[in-house]
Amino acid sequence: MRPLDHLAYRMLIGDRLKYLSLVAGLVFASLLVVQQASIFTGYSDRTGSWIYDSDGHDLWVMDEQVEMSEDSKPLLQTALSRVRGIDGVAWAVPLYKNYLKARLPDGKLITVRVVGIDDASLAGGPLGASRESLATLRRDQAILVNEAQLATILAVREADGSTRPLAVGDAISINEHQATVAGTFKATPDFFWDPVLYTTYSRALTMAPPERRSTTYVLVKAKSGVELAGLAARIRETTGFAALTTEEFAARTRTYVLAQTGILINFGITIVLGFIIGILVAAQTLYSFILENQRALAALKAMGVRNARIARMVVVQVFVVGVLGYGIGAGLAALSGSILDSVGLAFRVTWTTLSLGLLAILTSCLLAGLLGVRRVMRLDPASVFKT
Amino acid sequence: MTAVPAASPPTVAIRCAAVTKHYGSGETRIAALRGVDLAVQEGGLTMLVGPSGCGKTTLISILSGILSPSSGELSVFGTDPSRLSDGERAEWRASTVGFVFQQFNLLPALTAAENAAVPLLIRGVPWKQAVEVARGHLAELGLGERCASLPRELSGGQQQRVAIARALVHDPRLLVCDEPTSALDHETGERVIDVLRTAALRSGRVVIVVTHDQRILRYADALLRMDDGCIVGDRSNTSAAPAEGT
Ligand SMILES: Nc1ncnc2c1ncn2[C@@H]1O[C@H](COP(=O)(O)OP(=O)(O)OP(=O)(O)O)[C@@H](O)[C@H]1O
Ligand SMILES: [Mg+2]
Repeated sequence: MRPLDHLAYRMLIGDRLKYLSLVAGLVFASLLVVQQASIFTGYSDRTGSWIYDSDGHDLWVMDEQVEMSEDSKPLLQTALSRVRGIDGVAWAVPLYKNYLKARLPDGKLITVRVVGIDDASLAGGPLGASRESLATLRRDQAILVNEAQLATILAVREADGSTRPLAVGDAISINEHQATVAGTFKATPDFFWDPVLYTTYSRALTMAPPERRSTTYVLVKAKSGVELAGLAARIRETTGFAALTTEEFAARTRTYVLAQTGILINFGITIVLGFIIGILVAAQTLYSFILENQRALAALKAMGVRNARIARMVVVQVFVVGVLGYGIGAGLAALSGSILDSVGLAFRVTWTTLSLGLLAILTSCLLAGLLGVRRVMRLDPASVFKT
Repeated sequence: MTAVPAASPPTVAIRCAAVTKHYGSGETRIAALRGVDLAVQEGGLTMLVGPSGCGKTTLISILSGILSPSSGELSVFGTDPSRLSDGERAEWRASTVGFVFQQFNLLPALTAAENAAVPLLIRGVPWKQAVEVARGHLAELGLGERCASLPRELSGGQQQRVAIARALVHDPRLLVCDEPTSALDHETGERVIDVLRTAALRSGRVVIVVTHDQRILRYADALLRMDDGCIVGDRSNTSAAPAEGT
């Protein structure tokens, strides 16, 4: 460390109270920024949970106007055979997905998302279902339910007022059609809250109100060695349908949700507010720190320290408090994240969040510091002789 | 306008000719210096006296390269600091001038030794080494025990001695002091002046002390009297007290 940088550091930590309130302000700002950004990332990740949990295929073929996974614009059943005929398709299966009403054993009516997967191959079933569990779908009236929801949203209220988890063997009526819980699957926590029930494609169609269009997606597996982008383009050209990879479909869904809901704005506001408050605290402290040292800084100027070196000293001070405050704040955010995570809230810290957060904190501290520096630069070194 | 003679005798360290300085402009224009001519010899303690507001602080600010004169000729060890760029002038001050301010202007977060080390730090001397040198100077000024104290833990007189140690630590050729002894008791004041004079007597050094303290005038090797922006008396004191004090 250069001697004057060391001097800057000593000036900084020498004023304990100022130093601590500077760091505390930055810890607060960093904590809020990283925490809120990570919760935001967590929630935005979850918009793609169902898509990522669907197993076995390469492309999702759908009406080109579909904007996200919860928006069904079903295709005619002939879509399947049209897609099957396209060069490079190894196999293609239909998938039904729609919101229907279900009545639980206790009579409670809830909205569920019924997903019907190909009867023969069971392709498109949940990744988190065991082979045995998936195979139970071949039984009469069988449906699979989300294991994590058995005791929560699907819980059954008994006659005596107590509740019990929904169990394998329980009967549910879906859109007035009988169904039996045959097994369970594990699912990634989902942004959309209505329970997903899996059944077979043909059974789903019997449950659904009669419609001419009943194929929500055609799931496509490419022949090995076939390039997906090319195949997707061929499907688009031949049929006019959109063909998206899992990543693309998840991204489209995420973008739509963020754009159409207040989530982005809400988190954005919290992040910006936390940021502003923290930065204001830090800026104000930094500024008063510089003001209080004004005479001494003017003396330094009289003694031959150039303005540029004074600015550099402030940069050193900003860097020390910025990195320290951010380190502690981001650390606390990660800690709070592991707690939030354990109670089921969405939370994911990314390197992007961390580096952007650090960049933002340091930049705004620098700006605050430079405000103070400007004052010091305008200080008249001759003022040091004044009483 | 009087020009500076081209061949100045080597013993003259500082020379001013017709130096003026005014603050502000128009109605509020104040002439602080109205044509100062002076020559200061090397190797002595020069005292600058005069009534309040006569321009003493303005003059030493100009001599030390903190202010630039409005007109006139100036030479400090052969350099006119007012002709240097801002950066060069800062560098020149850092290497050539030591300051003792009326307000001590110590950095509140630094210990006495660290404060005294600042001019060395400015010149890039490593921290430990600079503080070590500063300790020596503090000891010389009777503050050997207080090296680790913060300014707020020191009396006014002690703070002033720290400021003097800071002014001497990088062994500058020019030392300017504004009222260095006003906050000190008589004995301490004499000791401080003794140190300043020892520094002044080394060849090539100039020490200028602005003072109202009649008690220390007898230590002056030269005495400059100012009134209303002009030098009104210039006396070399051949019978200055010995550097060791009496
Ligand atoms: N920055 C300034 N702006 C305007 N006028 C100033 C400024 N600095 C000094 N003056 C004026 O210039 C004159 C000389 O001031 P200076 O400080 O040099 O006097 P001084 O001899 O040091 O006085 P003192 O013994 O009280 O310290 C005074 O009239 C003062 O009011
Ligand atoms: Mg003065």
